[in-house]
Amino acid sequence: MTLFRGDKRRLNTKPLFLASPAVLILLLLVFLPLILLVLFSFHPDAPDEQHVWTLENYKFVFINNPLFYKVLFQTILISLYAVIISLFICFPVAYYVAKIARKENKLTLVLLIIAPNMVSGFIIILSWLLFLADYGVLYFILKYLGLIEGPLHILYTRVAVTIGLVYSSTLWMFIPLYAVLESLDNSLIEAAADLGASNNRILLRIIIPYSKTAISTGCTLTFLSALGSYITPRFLGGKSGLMYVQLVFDAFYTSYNWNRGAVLAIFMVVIMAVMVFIGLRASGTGIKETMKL
Amino acid sequence: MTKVIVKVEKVTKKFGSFTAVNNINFGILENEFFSLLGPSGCGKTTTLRMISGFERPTIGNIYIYGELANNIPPYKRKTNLIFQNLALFPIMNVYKNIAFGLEMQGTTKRIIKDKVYKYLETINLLPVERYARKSINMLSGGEKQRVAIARCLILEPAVLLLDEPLASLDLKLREQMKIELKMIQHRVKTTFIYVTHDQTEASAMSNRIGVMNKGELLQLGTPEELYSKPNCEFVAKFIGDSNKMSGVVESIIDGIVHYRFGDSIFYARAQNDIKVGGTVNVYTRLEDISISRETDIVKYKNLIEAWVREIVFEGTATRIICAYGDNKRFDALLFAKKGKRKYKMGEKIKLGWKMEDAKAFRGNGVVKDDSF
Repeated sequence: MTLFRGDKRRLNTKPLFLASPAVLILLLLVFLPLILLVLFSFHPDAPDEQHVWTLENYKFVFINNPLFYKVLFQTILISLYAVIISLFICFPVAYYVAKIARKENKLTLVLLIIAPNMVSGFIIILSWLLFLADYGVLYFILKYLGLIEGPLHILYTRVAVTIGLVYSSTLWMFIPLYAVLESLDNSLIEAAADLGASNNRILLRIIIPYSKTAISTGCTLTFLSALGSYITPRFLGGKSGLMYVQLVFDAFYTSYNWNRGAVLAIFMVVIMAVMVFIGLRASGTGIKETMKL
Repeated sequence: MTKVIVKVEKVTKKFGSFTAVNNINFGILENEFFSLLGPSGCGKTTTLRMISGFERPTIGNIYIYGELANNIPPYKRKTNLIFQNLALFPIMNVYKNIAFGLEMQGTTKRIIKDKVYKYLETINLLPVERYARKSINMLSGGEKQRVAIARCLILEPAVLLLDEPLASLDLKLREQMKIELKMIQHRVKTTFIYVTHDQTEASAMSNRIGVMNKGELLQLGTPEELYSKPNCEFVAKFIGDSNKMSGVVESIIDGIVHYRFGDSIFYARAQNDIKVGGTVNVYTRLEDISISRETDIVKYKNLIEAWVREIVFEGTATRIICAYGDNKRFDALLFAKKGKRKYKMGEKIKLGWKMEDAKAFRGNGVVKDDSF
């Protein structure tokens, strides 16, 4: 085994031995459960019929279940909203921190943006509950400003879920954008200006193309984190903000039907894999370049 | 009378309390190759950035084509800047990089294509079709250099500004690009303003050079003028290779300073206001020093006895590093034919030079020479 390509020294240990802890963890905790899920999905619910192979579960989920499509559509829609809003918030912020803020302030700013992610997600949700409630903090602020009269009707809607998801996904969007903008040489921007590009043109022709990889990485990560979120829609969404993971959860724990739950879970893994694939293609780079970020 | 294209009028630039450029004045003529020369931190790059529009003068005015340019943003100026690191766009290929400026002007695709190919030819990247498609990362240092030049020239700027563009190249390539740049300038007939800390670069290419130090423009002139008639000690020291000698002024007669060093009197031409009894720093070019082991150089008024400390072969000449007095350094160049080495290490020799070739500047009271 070598430490880098072209390294002539050789370590005496076998690569498989060094990699074995990671490989074992992956096998035991990721692949084995996935295989079990697939097996579950092809068996009926009844305990005494575990040897029977069936497509009943798939039929039930995909054909006899109108709620499935409704929730799936809503989940994708809310996740897309979260991605777009998050991008439009994070890009200017990342640009400011990377390019405009003074050097000595950068660390503080980055920490301020990262800090909320160190707080328990549950506590953040509780704060949002207080903030968005019908007679919550936001209500008092808006009322004080004279913008509204009656109570707010944001909590337990899609809007509340979207707000919560945008908030919790900031990090996924901010870090790749910040990293790439930090690496963008100022002289490229100046050169474009010198060659006659206005600020808008510089943004469209230089800065955004340069950060393309980071944008697609950030969007993919944010989308995945939104798609797989449970706590946020569970507490902020109520009935009208139902999201996909809740269906999975309900199948496993409420109706205690692991076989149908398995179908739902597998479908979600497939969606996520497709999303990662699309994200990679959109960035125009292979998986190798994306992993670098 | 040639036209003044860029006029820098009483320009001062301050960053906070630091004065980067202090009250400089100069004009740049049409089709001129003008260099700003000075050590790093002397304000030459700041001056260039003010002409290109990236910095605004704190005081003073900059005129381009007779028009006050202080408030014109870079993208509206008829100047183009070649950055020190070139700043080619890594996300685009060679063609797109060169076409960028024209695309910003909204030129039609066909004209852009013709022009890009024409300029690829101008900068000698052949065959053009192959180079046009190359990505920036695939180019060598010299090729990148040329692309950066073409990217600016295609806009036919009134003035092309170059910020030490050769600094990152290796010696051989730098020599080659020096000549290339000068030839490109002749071909496209554009005014070049070139910033560098390398006096050989500036001398080789420029019609005129402005020497800067600590934010001030010290002297402006042709390379020959700066070389033979420096107006201050800094220029004398900075341009070319000189020996420095310090002494105390005994008298001044007809512009010739008589100064004492050790027990002897030496003679030099006074370059600025020198006072009897004060100190002088005297600079003499290496090539003006005669070296001999015989006494046949007695004809020189200035004569010192020294011994050979080191012999350095430099190709066209051999540098004899000598020591005199209490281990003071004095160099001479020996243009020996067929590389014949006449002198041996440690040998006693005599050095002589004409008093016209020695340039005396007022010292600051401290006698300090180049010593080992």
